[in-house]
Amino acid sequence: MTRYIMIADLRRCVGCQTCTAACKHRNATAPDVQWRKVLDLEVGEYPDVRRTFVPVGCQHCAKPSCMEVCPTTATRQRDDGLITIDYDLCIGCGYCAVACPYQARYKVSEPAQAYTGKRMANEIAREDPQRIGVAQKCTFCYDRIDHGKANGLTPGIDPDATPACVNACITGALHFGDIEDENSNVAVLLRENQSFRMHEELGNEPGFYYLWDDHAIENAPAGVQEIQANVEANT
Amino acid sequence: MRTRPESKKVATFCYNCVAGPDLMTVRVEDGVATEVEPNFAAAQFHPAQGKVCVKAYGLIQKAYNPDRVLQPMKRTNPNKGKDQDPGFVPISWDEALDTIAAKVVEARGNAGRDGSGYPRIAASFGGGGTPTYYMGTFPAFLSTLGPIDFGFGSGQGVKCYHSEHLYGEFWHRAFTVASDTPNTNYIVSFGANLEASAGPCGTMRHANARIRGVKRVQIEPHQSVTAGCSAEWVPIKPKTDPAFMLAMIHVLLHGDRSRLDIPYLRDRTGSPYLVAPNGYYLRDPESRKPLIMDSQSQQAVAFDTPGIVPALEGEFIVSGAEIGADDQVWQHHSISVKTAFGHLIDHVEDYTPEWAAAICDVKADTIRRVAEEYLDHAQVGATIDIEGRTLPFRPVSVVLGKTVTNGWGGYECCWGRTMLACLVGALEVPGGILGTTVRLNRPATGRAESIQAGPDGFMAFPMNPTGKDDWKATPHTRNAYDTLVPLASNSPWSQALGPTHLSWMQQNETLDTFPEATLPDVWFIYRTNPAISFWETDTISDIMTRFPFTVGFAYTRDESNHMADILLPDQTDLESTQLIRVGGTKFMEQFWEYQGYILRQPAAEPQGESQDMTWIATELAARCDLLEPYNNAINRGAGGVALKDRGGRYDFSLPTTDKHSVDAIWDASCRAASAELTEGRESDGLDYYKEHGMRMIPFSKLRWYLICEMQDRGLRFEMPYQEGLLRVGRQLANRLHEKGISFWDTQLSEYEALPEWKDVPGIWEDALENNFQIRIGDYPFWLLTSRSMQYNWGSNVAIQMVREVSKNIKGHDGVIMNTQRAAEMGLKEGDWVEIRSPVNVVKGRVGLRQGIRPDVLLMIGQFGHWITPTAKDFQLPSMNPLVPMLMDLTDATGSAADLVRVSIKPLGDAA
Amino acid sequence: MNSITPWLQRFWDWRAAGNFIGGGIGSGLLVWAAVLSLAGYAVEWLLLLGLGVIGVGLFCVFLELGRPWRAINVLFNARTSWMTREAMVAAALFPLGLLAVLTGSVILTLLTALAGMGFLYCQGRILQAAKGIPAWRIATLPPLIASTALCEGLGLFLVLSPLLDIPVTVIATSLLLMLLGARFFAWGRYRNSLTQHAPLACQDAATQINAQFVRFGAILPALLAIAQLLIGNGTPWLAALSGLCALLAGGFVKFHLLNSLAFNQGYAISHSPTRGAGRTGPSVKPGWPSGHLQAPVTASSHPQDTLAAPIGAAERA
Ligand SMILES: Nc1nc2c(c(=O)[nH]1)N[C@H]1C(S)=C(S)[C@@H](COP(=O)(O)OP(=O)(O)OC[C@H]3O[C@@H](n4cnc5c(=O)[nH]c(N)nc54)[C@H](O)[C@@H]3O)O[C@H]1N2
Ligand SMILES: Nc1nc2c(c(=O)[nH]1)N[C@H]1C(S)=C(S)[C@@H](COP(=O)(O)OP(=O)(O)OC[C@H]3O[C@@H](n4cnc5c(=O)[nH]c(N)nc54)[C@H](O)[C@@H]3O)O[C@H]1N2
Ligand code: SF4
Ligand code: SF4
Ligand code: SF4
Ligand code: SF4
Ligand code: SF4
Ligand SMILES: [Mo]
Repeated sequence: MTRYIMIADLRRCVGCQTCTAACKHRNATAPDVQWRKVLDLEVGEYPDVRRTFVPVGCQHCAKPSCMEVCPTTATRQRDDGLITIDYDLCIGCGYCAVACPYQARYKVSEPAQAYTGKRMANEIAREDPQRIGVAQKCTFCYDRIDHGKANGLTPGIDPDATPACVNACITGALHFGDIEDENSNVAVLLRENQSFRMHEELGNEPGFYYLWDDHAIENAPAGVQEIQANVEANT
Repeated sequence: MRTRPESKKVATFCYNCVAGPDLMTVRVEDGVATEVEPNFAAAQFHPAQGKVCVKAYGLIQKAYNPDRVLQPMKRTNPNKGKDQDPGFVPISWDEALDTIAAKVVEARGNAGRDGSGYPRIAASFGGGGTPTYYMGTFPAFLSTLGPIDFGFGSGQGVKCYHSEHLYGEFWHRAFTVASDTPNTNYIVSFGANLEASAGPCGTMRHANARIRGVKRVQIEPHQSVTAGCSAEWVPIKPKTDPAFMLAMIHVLLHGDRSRLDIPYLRDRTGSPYLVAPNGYYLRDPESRKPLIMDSQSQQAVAFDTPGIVPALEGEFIVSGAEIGADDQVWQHHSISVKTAFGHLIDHVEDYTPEWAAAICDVKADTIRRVAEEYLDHAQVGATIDIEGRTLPFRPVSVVLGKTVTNGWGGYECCWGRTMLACLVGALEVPGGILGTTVRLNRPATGRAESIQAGPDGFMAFPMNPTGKDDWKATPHTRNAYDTLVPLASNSPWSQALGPTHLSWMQQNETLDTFPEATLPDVWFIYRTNPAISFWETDTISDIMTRFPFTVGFAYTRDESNHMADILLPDQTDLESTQLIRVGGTKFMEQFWEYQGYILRQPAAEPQGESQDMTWIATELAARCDLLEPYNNAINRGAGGVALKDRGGRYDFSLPTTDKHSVDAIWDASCRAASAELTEGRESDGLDYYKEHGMRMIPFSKLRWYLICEMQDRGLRFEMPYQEGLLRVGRQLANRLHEKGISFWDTQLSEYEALPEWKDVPGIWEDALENNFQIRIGDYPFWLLTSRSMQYNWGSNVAIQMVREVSKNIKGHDGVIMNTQRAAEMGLKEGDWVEIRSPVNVVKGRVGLRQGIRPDVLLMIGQFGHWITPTAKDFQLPSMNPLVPMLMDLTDATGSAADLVRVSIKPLGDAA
Repeated sequence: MNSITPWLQRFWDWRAAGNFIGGGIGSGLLVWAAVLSLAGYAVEWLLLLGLGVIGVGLFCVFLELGRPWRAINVLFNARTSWMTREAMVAAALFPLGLLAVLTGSVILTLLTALAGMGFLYCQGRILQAAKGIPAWRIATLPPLIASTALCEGLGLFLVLSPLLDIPVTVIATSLLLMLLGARFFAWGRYRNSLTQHAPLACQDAATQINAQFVRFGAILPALLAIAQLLIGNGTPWLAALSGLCALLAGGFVKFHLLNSLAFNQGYAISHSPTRGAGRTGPSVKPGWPSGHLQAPVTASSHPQDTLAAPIGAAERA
């Protein structure tokens, strides 16, 4: 079995929104539609304040409340865990959107126009009438995954088989891969680090994990040990 | 899912901010650029693995932005002003270029200088130097015009890392300074907002370091994104950083000094040099070499005597000569002297953490702990192996941000940072702090290459002369950099790094004894917006109305080209062609293991009638009858690559008499580049670079660390004691006073051998009270500014996608203030307020955060646009109209800082 | 949308509200029609009206669809979707109802009422399944939906009774009084559960609504009903007024349920991450009552007294 999941390493993320922008490019989403976005959360009181940047988007839940409510079966779950929307079945009732506890879904009623009244060449080139009036959300870039796999590539490892936001991330905070494969990049990361999922208590079993700490220093990536070794060798 | 048409990927680069250039590809579908993606083919070469930041993703909307200026325009309304409609009307390229050529030819009359001796042609380029990497062969054209005034600034320089630029290059060939992030374990950052400012190369390095367990202590008045990503945030009172650093130095020097890097201080710095009574080094009377005490022979000997073990501390009875300003000489016989290091120890004796605590509003324990952690992490004595060479390993670094490294206090901070590194031997070694690049020293090809040995055992630095007979008594540019600022040196960059606000200020009041401040007959502006970016922007705009003939290269209408007479539409990032040199080491945090060339090539069809900068330059050269010198300049390398090898291995020079197409020029450059990188073996041209985007050769990591060169050449860093600056300062004082100039006296006080704490915040407070007859108490807040990762200055404000995603990060909707403080004033999130400084007032909405000092307000970036399309509707306040340009706020390097005192008044819902 | 705290969902507006209002009133009315038919009254008009109101409600949702001409697809997911089931029940409800009208058969009338209740039940489940909206998924909502539907139905009946030749009996009025009480109680429980299970903004909105609801949805109609009971027959308009209040208040609550209380879940993290050698930090759930988060919470870092970290080692709280 395969279940693709995403990991956001909160220790790395700087809130730059490069992933947000990359998704907008890849999927030509309309202004103010952000299948991926990164929150700026503050906790504590001056001067003891913490600031954390949190990538969010569709969590490709194992128990997707969006799919359960969808009256048309437009929202479906693939064998590899991806939650898809069939734009041709969807009636745009919006039920899935209010059933999603992660604010992941959007509905757009007219073509993209970043500058009102003046459509740009790139907007016209990327116009997708299918997506008007129906539900839309992060697809985990299934087109990239499928195309990549068809060409013998490994999602999460080979850029051409990996979601655009993950490829674009400039701090290596985003990871994608098969959690069922115990040797996969994501399985290893989850083993070596402490993670949580958002709104765990709601029971959707999200396919999106947040790393917030390592288990212990001995699990720290090679870098430290190398430098340590180097230092000990030379002092 | 809609099936997409056949598409190709074009390899190119983004250089929209100084953290770049960074490599990317652009997907092109049916001739339309649709998608920016990383260039994974370049991952092995590029420090950010072929990735670009969010700003680069704005370039597609930039190309197709419907608000672009797409044909040449001329002004029909002779009256210039904020309130005037320029009445721009479209004209042909011929008309535009002929008009400009005529003006240029005329302005080149009497050697290109006017009655005051100032250049009759001026040019301003912004964005911290990045425009050079977009303007193709325009520099070649400029180089044919004779004298040009580059001194009308837009902020890059004086509002930038100014003191760091000057002192950094002086001390370690460091135009800017970065931590050796991949190796460092402890970073003390005074307002270096790197997670916003250092681009993909920087953020990638720091993210990896965090996972390694690096500890970064971010010391700044508001909790920037960088502070958010740091192990600890210390909210310091603005502009008190020198006190914090002096106290750290105190802790290190007045604790167990044997824990410091004694060999480094002894052999790599001027610490052992003996200081004579008048404050200059004690020297050997004949050779004039500085003396040091050999602890074996107990003799004072010349610093470079072989086989000695210099004493770091102690008081000694010795004889020798002392040489002061203007060659004044004192002979000393059996006087008691101390080492420079000894003086340093005394100097910081009273600068205790308790003393600093009161000034910085930071607990003394915190200051002491940070100092001790810094020492603990330094691992003095450790070494590391880099490419087979064993180097010291000192994984501790202190980095400084923009507002810390400019204006008053900048000198103290840069000195303090460099001193902290020297004390533990962390300057220019693995794990420590490293310079990124050189701008003032030549050759600019590499930091090590730019080193020349000076007479006193330090690196020589090309100061502007202050001697009786070589000092430039009358400035030859309007910002007088070579008259007033010895450290600004005299490289092609120096003008722009001078006190560029003086060019503006003098337009309203010529400085004492200086030639009457004139305006240039012709002014070129490209990729800069002083009317938004500089201080006191209303004044700047007003002065701009008086420029007789302004040529604005225009991407869109903006606040500066609003005063232009001609607008020229240049092809932007995704439409134009240029080959640039990359690799090696470069700010913000680009440390490559390769060097070479990358190509910018068109991905999108050129929009409208826009033209490539190289085409424009060539046309202008032709119409000014300057083709020959222009082509010669290109052949010499004014386009970025010398087309002819001095060693004679290759020659792709262009025939000098005819006009060459854009592609022909870059094809020759590409061939020369290929040949240069392969010792003449290869000569692949434009097509090769269009296909591969780049060509690289290895760059040794050892060249990241200046220590190698210093060891090999037995040189010392000019630390801690600033004898040279002291002398230069006295000489400058003599020159100015001989000429009856007193307006620079306060600035002269900065030339100290060892920097004293001055009440830096007080300097701002007094300056405001004295110049505007106000009570500082009525302006209770410090207003600061900060970078945003989503914006490159004010450059991409009009790009919808950038604006949209930036809103996910706090602070992009108005002025940030402390939640509790706001509550006391009855302010809620989003309330409209009026922010008033002694010079001006702006309106905006408040955004509330816990992560900011109660006495501080923050306005991110550069907004406040009033004509730039779409941006003019943002209603976002900018600090720039509020910050006065004052001589009192100008430090000795000729810079001030982006901060001012303000008051805030609730406006209720009445916007 | 750049909010980090829960914000009002914008997918379902007055049109969706219309469906729940229509569904409530209509099915309520069908129920009372059935009761009356048992008592031997002719209830064709009531049946028609009930169906009509439900029909109008359904037409409202139709207007909400992004792709209305594919509306038929709504029937594709009987397996799990209460919206599909609602549609199916509706599909049965109308023929049944019309048949009942035509035949006047009591059995069919009862079956229609049954279908109406089914329809109402589906609507309750639709809201329950909308997991993204705390104010809808709360378990205390269905009792409110049911009680108010019966209030509304009876209310409408009382409004109409002067027109129909069905006398307003003491029973009807006192029934309304009881139902008003039940609805008031259900609303109280609902609001109370919001304080544990809904975002702060939602709770504030509920407080706002509460004032009017209690005044015009409970006290006023109750007084009117009581007055009617005391004065006795001959003043049906008192009962009618009371019914009108009960009816409007029901619509009022549902309109706000869809438009003012429908804050989404928002976001939360159960830990602030380590940043290099720094410490982990506490959980954050913007816009929710503090300490609401179930997931474990580690102590907040105190930067001012963190200790020097050994290389690479992360300090922990
Ligand atoms: N409030 C505030 N002010 C600051 C700073 C701050 O932090 N806060 N920082 C200061 C510093 S450090 C610096 S370096 C300066 C930089 O300040 P500037 O050098 O003025 O930089 P920009 O604002 O980027 O100016 C870029 C201008 O070029 C135009 N432009 C953009 N792309 C193109 C193009 O392709 N072609 C043409 N022809 N024009 C183009 C844009 O419209 C914009 O008007 O700002 C200083 N000012
Ligand atoms: N994304 C992006 N990156 C850029 C640029 C850009 O426009 N956009 N511009 C480039 C250029 S030209 C420059 S000069 C650099 C600037 O790079 P940085 O200096 O790293 O960035 P800034 O945010 O401008 O620096 C301001 C920071 O200093 C803090 N600060 C203000 N006053 C004080 C003080 O008195 N003491 C201390 N300790 N801190 C203080 C503020 O809180 C803020 O976080 O960024 C470069 N990189
Ligand atoms: S996140 Fe929302 S939209 Fe995505 S699968 Fe889960 S419930 Fe469905
Ligand atoms: S909007 Fe489309 S996907 Fe969502 S529930 Fe309705 S039919 Fe299903
Ligand atoms: S996975 Fe693909 S669709 Fe989803 S956020 Fe990332 S880029 Fe967008
Ligand atoms: S690109 Fe990476 S670092 Fe930037 S916001 Fe997205 S996840 Fe965070
Ligand atoms: S940091 Fe971003 S904007 Fe700056 S050069 Fe690199 S990619 Fe371009
Ligand atoms: Mo700058």
